[in-house]
Amino acid sequence: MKSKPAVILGITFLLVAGIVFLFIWPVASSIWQSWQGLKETKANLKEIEETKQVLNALKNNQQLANVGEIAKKYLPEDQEAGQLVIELTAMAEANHLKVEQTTLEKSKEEPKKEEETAKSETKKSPTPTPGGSPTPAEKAKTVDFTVKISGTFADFMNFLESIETSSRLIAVKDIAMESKAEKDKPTAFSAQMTGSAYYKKKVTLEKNLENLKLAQETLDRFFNLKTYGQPINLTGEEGFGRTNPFENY
Amino acid sequence: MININLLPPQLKMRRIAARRNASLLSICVLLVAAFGILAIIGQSLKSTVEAYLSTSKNAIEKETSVLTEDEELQDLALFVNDRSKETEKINDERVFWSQVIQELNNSVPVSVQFVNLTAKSSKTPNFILQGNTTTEREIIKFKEKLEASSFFKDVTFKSSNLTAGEKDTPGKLQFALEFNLENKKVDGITSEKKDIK
Repeated sequence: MKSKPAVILGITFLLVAGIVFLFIWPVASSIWQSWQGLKETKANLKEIEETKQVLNALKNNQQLANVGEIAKKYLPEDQEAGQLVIELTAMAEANHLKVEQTTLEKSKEEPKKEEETAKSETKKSPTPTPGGSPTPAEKAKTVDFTVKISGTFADFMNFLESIETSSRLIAVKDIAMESKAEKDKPTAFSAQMTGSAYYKKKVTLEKNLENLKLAQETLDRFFNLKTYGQPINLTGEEGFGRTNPFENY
Repeated sequence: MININLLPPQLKMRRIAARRNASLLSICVLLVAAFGILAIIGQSLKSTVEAYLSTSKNAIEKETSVLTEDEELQDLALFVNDRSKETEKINDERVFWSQVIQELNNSVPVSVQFVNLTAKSSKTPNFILQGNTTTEREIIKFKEKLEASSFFKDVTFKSSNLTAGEKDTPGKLQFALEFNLENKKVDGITSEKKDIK
C-alpha cells in the first residue's frame, strides 16, 4: 500500500516527461527558431522600408542625374589623357597664355597609406581577400603632366585658379616661375607646372543603405566646384602686397 | 462537536491512505492535463508564428524584387558618394596654389621683385625664391612678414649680393630665401579680392 503514491508519482513523471519530450520540446524549439527568423525578417523589412524611402528620395531628386554627370567628369573612370591636354591648353589660351610645351607622363597609382598597410597585412597573412571587397588596385590613379607656359603673371594666376576650379580634378604639384628682363622690352614671364589629373576605374564604396543616401553636402561639393581655389580675402598692411611681384618695383 | 472514529486502527489508516492517494492522483491527472493543454497551445502558437513568418518572407521577396528594379539608381547614388569621398581625400592633400601664391603676393614689400620662384608641394624647402630689392631692411621686412603668415614657416635667408647699377640707376640687392608651406589652403574662403598695390 505504501508503494502506491510512488507508482502514481512515477507514472505522472513518465507521462509529463513523454508530453514534454514528444510534444512540447519540438514545438518550443520550432517556435524559437521561427521567432528568431521572424525577428530577422522584421529587421530586413525595416531595412527594405528604409531603402525604399532612400530610393524614393533619390527618385525625387532632380539633381541626381546632373550631379552624376559632374562627378563622372570630375573624377572619370578612364585616363582621358587627350581630353586633359585639350582642357589644359584651352584654359591656358582662355587666360591669354602661350603653351610652350605639354608633356604627359605614364599614368600611375596614387600612393596611399592604406595601400601600404594593406601590403604589410598581405605579407602577414597569405589568404586572398574575398571576392567583391575593395582592393588597393581600385584606388584613384593619376595622369601626370608638365605644362610650360609664357605670358603675364596675372594671367598665370588666373590660369592657376582655372585649374583648381576646373571640371576635372587636377592637383598642381610643383611650379617654377621665372621673369626675364630684356632691354627696352617688358619683363617676360614664364612658368613650368607639373601636376596630376585623377581618375578611378571602379566604385570601391560598399553597397549599403548608408552609402546610398545622398547628403546635401555631397551635392554641393559637385555643384560648387568653382569655390576651390577662389582668391582669399586677407587684411592688407601698409607697405606690403604687389599684384605682380615679378615686375620691377 | 466531538468526532469519534470507532473503526479499528488498521482500517482507519487504510482509509486515510486511500484518501491521500486519491488527492495525489487527482493532482497528477491535473498536472498531466496541464502539460497536455500546454502542448496543444504550443502547437497552435507554432502554426501562427510559422504562418506569420511565411507571410513576412513573401513580403520581403516581393519588396526585394521591387528594389532590384531601381538598381541603376542605386548604382548612380553609390557612384556619386564614392567620387565625393575620393575627392574629399584628394582635396585634403592638395595644395591650392592660387591661394598660397596670392598670400605670398600680399606679403611682398613694395620694393621687392621676384626673379625666380620654385614651389614644390612634396619636397622641402617647399619654396626657393630669388629676387631683387633695394636694401637688406626690405629682405628682413619680407622675411618677418612671411613668418607671420599662417601659410608659411621656416623662412631662411640664404644669400644676398649687391650688384652695381648702370648710369643714373641705383644698384640692386639680389637675395635668396627658402621657406616651407604651413597651410595648403585657407578655410572659409571668400570670393572678394583684397585691394593690393
